[in-house]
Amino acid sequence: MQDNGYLDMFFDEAKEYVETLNNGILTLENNPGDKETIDAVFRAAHSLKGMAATMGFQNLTELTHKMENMLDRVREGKLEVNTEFIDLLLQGLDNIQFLVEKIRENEGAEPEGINLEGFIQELANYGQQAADSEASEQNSSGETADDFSFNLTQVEKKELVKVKKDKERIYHLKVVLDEQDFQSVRAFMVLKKIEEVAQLFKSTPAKDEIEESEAAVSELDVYALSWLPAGEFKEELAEISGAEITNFTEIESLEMEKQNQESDSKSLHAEHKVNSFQSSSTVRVDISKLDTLMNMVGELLINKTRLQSLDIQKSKFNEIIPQLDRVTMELHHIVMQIRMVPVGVMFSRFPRMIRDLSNKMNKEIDFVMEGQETELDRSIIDELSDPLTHLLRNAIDHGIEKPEERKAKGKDEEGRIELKAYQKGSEIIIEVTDDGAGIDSDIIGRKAVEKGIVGEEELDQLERREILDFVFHPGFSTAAEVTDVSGRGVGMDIVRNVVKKLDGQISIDSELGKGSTFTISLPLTLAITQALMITVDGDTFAIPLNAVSETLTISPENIKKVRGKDVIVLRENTIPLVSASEIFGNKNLDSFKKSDSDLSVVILKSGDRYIGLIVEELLNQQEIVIKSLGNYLQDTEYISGATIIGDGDVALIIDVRDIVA
Amino acid sequence: METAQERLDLEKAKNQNNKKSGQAQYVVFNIGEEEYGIEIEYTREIIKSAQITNVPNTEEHVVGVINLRGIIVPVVDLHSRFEIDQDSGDFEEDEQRTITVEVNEMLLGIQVDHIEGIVWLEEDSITPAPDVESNLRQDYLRGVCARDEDHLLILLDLEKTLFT
Repeated sequence: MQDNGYLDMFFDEAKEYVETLNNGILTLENNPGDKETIDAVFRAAHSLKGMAATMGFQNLTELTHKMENMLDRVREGKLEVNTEFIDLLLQGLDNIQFLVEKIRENEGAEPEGINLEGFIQELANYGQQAADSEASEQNSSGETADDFSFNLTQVEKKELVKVKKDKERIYHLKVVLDEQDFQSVRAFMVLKKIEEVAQLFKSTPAKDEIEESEAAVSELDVYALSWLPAGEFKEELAEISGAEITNFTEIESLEMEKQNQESDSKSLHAEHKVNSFQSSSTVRVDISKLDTLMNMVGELLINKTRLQSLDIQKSKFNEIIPQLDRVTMELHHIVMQIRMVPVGVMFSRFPRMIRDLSNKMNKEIDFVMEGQETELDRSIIDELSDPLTHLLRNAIDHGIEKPEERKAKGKDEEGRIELKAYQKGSEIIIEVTDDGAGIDSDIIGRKAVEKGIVGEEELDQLERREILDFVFHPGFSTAAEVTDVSGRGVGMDIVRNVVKKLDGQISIDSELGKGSTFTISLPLTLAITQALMITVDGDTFAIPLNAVSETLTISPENIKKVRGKDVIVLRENTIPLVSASEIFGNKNLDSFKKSDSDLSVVILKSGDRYIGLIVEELLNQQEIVIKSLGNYLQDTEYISGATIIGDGDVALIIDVRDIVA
Repeated sequence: METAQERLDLEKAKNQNNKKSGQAQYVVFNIGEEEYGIEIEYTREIIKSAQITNVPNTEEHVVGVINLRGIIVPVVDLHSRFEIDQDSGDFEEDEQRTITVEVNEMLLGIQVDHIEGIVWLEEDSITPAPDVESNLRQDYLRGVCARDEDHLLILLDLEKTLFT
């Protein structure tokens, strides 16, 4: 057992590095020459290796070390980035994730009996072969003898300029070590000496590599910054026996800075691709602490409302209340901000999944993501990953056709799947679009009848959209054959359940032969919302304001009958009416119609449907803290949650979708 | 004050609970005239019945929800479950209490007519429920325990009582 604090840190950081590796490797696949990405990926592998070594995870250290070596060869230009290379890296990444997961299961120790030697050997061989062939090529062309060139990456160059102090000179030197015993020790001494008289910027191999590695070191490639003039610098190094400086250049820093400026302008667009190692002023916080904070702010808000409702006529009190109001609002705002996470965090796993699945199914897919920066509440993001995975899998499996088929239809052989996120008002919209086969509403309708979900006559009455909606019905699957990619008819109903649980909606739009779009809309945040307070038979209820279209007062004779249903006509739209009292137990609509007094109606909207809800009394509009009814009452019809109102009593929150649906 | 005291006693009782072997503590209460017991491990606190908000469209035994220091807690009334008349017991209204219990990781309140107290029971003294004349569904019962001559304590299986 390891110390838990360190272990948690290890898991957190490992997760980040794995993400960086994943993103980076996939970026590399499309942009094999992207130096910055190569560096970022290399650094992630390097850091992961260091961490694994510190924690004493041998397999993981070995694995990451070999991957790091491969990447280093790419950095040195000795290895080419091709599909085979990417595949190997991705396999390596899978193994890393596997190991990390095992370590977690095993409570912080690397489990025994895991044999990765074969794979590790493969990694080592791959790098070696390439290096060998490279080396032999170079030998034949006779260039190895003097392999001394300016070989810093862009990032390193920039860093070099940054760390360079005024008047310091930059030296690039190569030191060859005599072929006798203790080469490593000598190499180490050289570096130590350099550190005494200069700033050691970079050495190949690095100091810790020399320490770790058992292999002999025959030469060193060093960049150093020193105040000493070249002659004195060389003299200092000459003191060490068995080490000879074979190449030595002083780099004009000006030239370097100029180079940097040029490359800056060139690589601007590449900058944001992988930015894992940029440090930022952030703190890692346990999500449960945030939840507690959120609850406390909620309590504060409730008590503020209670204070406000006190009828105290004191000037001091009336002074304090607006201030308290401002502070609590600000506090609430900040807490919500803290909880917001860009959806890109979740999206980042999808390109890999799409790549693997499309390979497996022999489909060509261009996967496009948009709006990764769109922010959502952390708790929503965590829940959303499974439904989205399912939708994307479906799009590959059932949506996109095989290349031949697409060609025959006159479509581009490469299918396109888009994953888009954007904000629309107080909602976040996430869309999954494919340009595949689309969904045939006739087939859906027929199946719905077969399965007894809907009667045949009823089906004729339904709109296309309503028919497509049946795919979300439990036990409904349209795939002719069951594949291991998208399963067997469980899924779409679960997708809808999850989205509903998050207080969101999912809809589907599809055109046969052209493709399908699934649209998920979600509230920006779950915890606090504006609500319209109403009463029904003396009890107070809250209706989320984003579901209220308007409120009005009607007299009973305004109620008309259309096809046996009560409706009102509002600006030429016919809107069905229901009585809240009927839904919640007591009086039905007829008892209202008999009364002479005017009726209060709340027009509710859900999607593009409207319904009028007759309530007893319209109260006020206020901010409410949404609380769950708990698992015991979770499925209660027409009620989505509860909130605590001014006097400490509980008011139930009306589930508008249940009423409008 | 009284509720705080009762909560304290529950905590104290729980702390002693593992000190005797072969025995366990039960919270004993009345629903109607009958005496019931539940294992003390399930219980969190005993509170004076708070303002209950009715929740429509729920099962008959769910009377509503209460606000327990900011947490919404569903409250169940076992009279209907056990087919006992609401006013069959000989208790005053202000003797009514809500026992909050945690079952299957859910916090629930059970409304009872009267709290009898906390008792130690020998595990040996608990016998399977006799299969007789009871309005109670047999699977709600964990067993019975004869406290004296004509006094039977009915021990509830809370999970079954609340979730089936």
